[in-house]
Amino acid sequence: MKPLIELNDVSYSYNGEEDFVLKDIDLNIEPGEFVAIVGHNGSGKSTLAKLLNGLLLPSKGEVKVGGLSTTSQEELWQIRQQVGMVFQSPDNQLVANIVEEDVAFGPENLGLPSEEIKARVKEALALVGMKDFARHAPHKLSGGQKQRVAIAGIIAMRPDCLVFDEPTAMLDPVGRKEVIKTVEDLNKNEGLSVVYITHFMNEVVNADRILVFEEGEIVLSGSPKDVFTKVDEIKELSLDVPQVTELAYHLQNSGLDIDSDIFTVNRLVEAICSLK
Amino acid sequence: MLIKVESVTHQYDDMGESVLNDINFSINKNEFISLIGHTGSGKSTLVQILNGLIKPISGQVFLSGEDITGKDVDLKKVRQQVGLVFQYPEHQLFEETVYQDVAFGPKNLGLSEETIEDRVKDSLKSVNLEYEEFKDRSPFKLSGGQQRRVAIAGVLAMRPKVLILDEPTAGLDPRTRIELMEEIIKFKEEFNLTIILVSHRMEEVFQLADRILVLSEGQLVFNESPTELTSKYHQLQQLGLGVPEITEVLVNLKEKGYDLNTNIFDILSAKDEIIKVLRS
Repeated sequence: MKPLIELNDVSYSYNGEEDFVLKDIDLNIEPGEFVAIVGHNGSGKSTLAKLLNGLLLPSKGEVKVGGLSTTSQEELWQIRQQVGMVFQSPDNQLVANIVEEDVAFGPENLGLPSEEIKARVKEALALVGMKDFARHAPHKLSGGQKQRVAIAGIIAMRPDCLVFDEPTAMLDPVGRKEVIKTVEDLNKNEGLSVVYITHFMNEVVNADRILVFEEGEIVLSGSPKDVFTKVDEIKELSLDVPQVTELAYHLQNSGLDIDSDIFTVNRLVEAICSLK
Repeated sequence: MLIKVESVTHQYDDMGESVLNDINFSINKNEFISLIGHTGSGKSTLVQILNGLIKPISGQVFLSGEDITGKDVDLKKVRQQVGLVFQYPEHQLFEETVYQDVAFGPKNLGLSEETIEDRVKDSLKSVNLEYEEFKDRSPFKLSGGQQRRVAIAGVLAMRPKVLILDEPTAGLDPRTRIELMEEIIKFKEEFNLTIILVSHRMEEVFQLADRILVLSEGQLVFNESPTELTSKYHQLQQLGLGVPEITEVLVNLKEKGYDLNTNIFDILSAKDEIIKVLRS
């Protein structure tokens, strides 16, 4: 299968030639894949996100979406329709006074017939679990609900890939769970590719692949098991490992026969109980 | 007793439900208090009542024995004594230089230039910003973490007795979050502060707080030490809250018959406890 998104030797600098915030990134994102990106502020994560749908163009190298280069002006609209973005602030992304009008905004700009738009809005709101809120005012929704409406607006464009740039950073734990579940469902049930940027390691324990960025480079990558079990390296980068994973790691180092790929409380409890 | 809250009830409109319902608690000098609860539980209303931004419809709040909900109260003085750092406080920076921003509060107190400068220096130092390097810079050209530190320094420069921090680490990356929490612990000692920390991060709350106040739907449902609260684990879960992940592991093990101490909130102590019980 051809990759959905290809980055070939991509570097990016905001001021021209020096200070590259991304350095020689080679990366493919496959159809249906869930790729998580973690790293500190300034590590290049958000720059990468903006390169994926041509909001930024690479200083060096090439980004291709479905085989089309983002440098090609004629293809840019198709690329942006294929790769949708959801940002951090739930309030800055909603434009209309009623939820369903907000979700219809994108499809309307595609010039679709109104029956088609209605069908897409209905479907998109159902997919994010917000169909009962179609006639509500966005500003009265919770943070998690607003983010789900923003996601619905993107889904209504029928993209192949969703890029999330810290979508839960401003949400409380309840809103955070709502958004993660929605993202996971869209990936699993609808087969959408997901690129998910976050500071919260425990949000991405179900990702197919985790990339750790530091100073514009990918310094660690692999499955959650590969990445989280490198506890020392992750700590060295001052990133978070889920607390239970770190506890499992220390228990293992103390000589207990415990797997290191433990991400949930229940699994650690089971592992300890089975030692008897 | 530094703060005493007595039968405080509040609602925003006459017909509406109470956002706070008959709240009673007190806070001693130098305590580290954590306030937890879901969005909509009444936390924000409560902290605004504590520094006089909102007057409750009934009940009283005493600050060093003085009723700050009374008629003739000097609200300016209350707000100087109870500093409030809002969520995303960097959104409220507005001056041209870091110095001016931090000096804004002390200037309004009518202090001398010299005192103001001392306070700006001390406050910036407390949040690990080098005075000479930062004083003339525009706050808008700093990183998110630096902006937030400037905003906190501005509140510290008022020399409050009580500092309320509403999710001070929200949206920060992990490295900055850890640094900022360390700074808070340090300047609490330095300025002899009483801290009220509003947070969703249970691992932070249970490790740092002397006492945890739990709000749910406008009621104060718990007011206990982290240790006492751990024994109410199931009730906390029913409220959609919880204990730190590692404490949860210990609680679950205990329920499965292991004889261990569950009042542990850091990873290395949890490891030691589990190993101890397995080898005994």
